[in-house]
Amino acid sequence: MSLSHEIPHADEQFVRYLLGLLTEEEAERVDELSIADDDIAWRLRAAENDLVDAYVRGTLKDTDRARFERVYLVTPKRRDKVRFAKSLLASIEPAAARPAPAVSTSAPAPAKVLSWPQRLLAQPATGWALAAAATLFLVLSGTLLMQTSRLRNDVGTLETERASADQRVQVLQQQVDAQRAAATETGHELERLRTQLLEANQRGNAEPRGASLLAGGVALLLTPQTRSSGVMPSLAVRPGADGVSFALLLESNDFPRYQVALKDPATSAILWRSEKVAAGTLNHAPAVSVIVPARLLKAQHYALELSGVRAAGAADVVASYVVRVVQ
Amino acid sequence: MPQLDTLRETRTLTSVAFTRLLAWLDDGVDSGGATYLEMRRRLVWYFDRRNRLTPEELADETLNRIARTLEESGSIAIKPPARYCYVVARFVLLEDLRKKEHTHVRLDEPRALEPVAKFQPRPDDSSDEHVVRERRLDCLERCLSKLKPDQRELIVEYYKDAARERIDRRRALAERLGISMNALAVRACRIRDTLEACVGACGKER
Repeated sequence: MSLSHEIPHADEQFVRYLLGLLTEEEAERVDELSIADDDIAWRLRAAENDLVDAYVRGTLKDTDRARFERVYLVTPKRRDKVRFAKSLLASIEPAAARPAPAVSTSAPAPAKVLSWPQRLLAQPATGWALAAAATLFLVLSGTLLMQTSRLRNDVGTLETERASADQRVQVLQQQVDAQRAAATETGHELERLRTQLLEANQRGNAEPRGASLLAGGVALLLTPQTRSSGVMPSLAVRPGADGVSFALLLESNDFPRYQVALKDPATSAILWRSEKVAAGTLNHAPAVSVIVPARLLKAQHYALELSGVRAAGAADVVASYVVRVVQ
Repeated sequence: MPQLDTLRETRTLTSVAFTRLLAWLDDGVDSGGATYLEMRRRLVWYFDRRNRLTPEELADETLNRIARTLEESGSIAIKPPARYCYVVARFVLLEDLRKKEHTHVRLDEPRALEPVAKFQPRPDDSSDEHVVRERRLDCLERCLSKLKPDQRELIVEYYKDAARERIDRRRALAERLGISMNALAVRACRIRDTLEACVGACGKER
């Protein structure tokens, strides 16, 4: 089985790195990014975990497996990772990773049932044979009774589990309904905010927190790019403007600081990064305000990628916003 | 070029130097030492991936050198701090390679530090190994039970299944949580790191 089935295409370069298949120059570049770039550091870790899991599951191609053992599996730390992966997979997938329980040993009777009459017919009907037959009959009857009882219990357990699963499905359905309702509510709230912001801009006034930012240049309120995105917001940069203010609405404020990257969606190149800033509120909704230098914006589409920065300094991409700049 | 042994100091960091190092790594956002731990971890893995025998020592050596530079110069111009950490780490690596190249292996000429045959990942362990494995599983179950229910659910969902099902499952999971696949991978990785550390600590306790 190819490793590419287990690991997203974009991260295959990390697998090549871990298996020592990159040139020294390429490997050094990954080394550098694995220390200096939060995103790469985590993606590399994720790819490494997937590679180790694939090895433990035995789904690596022979050549990859051999290379893994020769190149990767050479330090105690990495061997520990493999041991941990074995435990983890055994724990979450008991049937796949642990030897199957010896079910057959608890049900030896059927083989005897088939052979017993044949053997009886082939032998003279002696007292010993009858006694043996009677004993065997009793043993078989006992075994059958026990099996029947166990099957009844199994059926009972299965019914309980099914009932429990049904109940869980109902609970999940309720949760999904609640989330849908909340999403609709959020949509209305965002619409209301947009309208208010528009009115505020027209009046030349903005919300207290956004005021200083919104007054500096063109202002735009952006909502996260969702599965069902609507019309792409657009803006025209005023000639001579130094910066363009964006207020990025958050679904929830989960991080102490945020950082915004301006990306060109065509090339994925990062054109600009903001300072790390805390979120504020805009009409009770959490939002992050940044000013993007106007000179960077040309007539095209842009993506604003918002990362939450943890106290530890690590960053997670939490949302993406799109905007179209027009002349 | 001074030898690593002479640089691998004798002189321990003063609390002032260490505090300054923490602040410099934090780069304006107080992390309470978490950034230091994360950077040390990245450095340890960097040296380990370069097949060094003592990755922890080399990571500490890297951070100590930076702390001393900060102590002596008052500031470091290179930004961000993580990039400078890599620059220093690379020097430390090169010195270590030069010093021990006859006993270590290069990444582009991979050879086992220990014979791989010693490590048998398949379930044909001896009874002692079986006991160790069972103990590790017990630790893992215990550590899993310490996770929040949603974390436990996420890690089980995320790492379940091989091959194509796994990617589909992850895509569905990311969709359900309303986050990107990348963000999901990071989240799962963090939980796995926590578990791995917990299992390691549990193994040492027992």
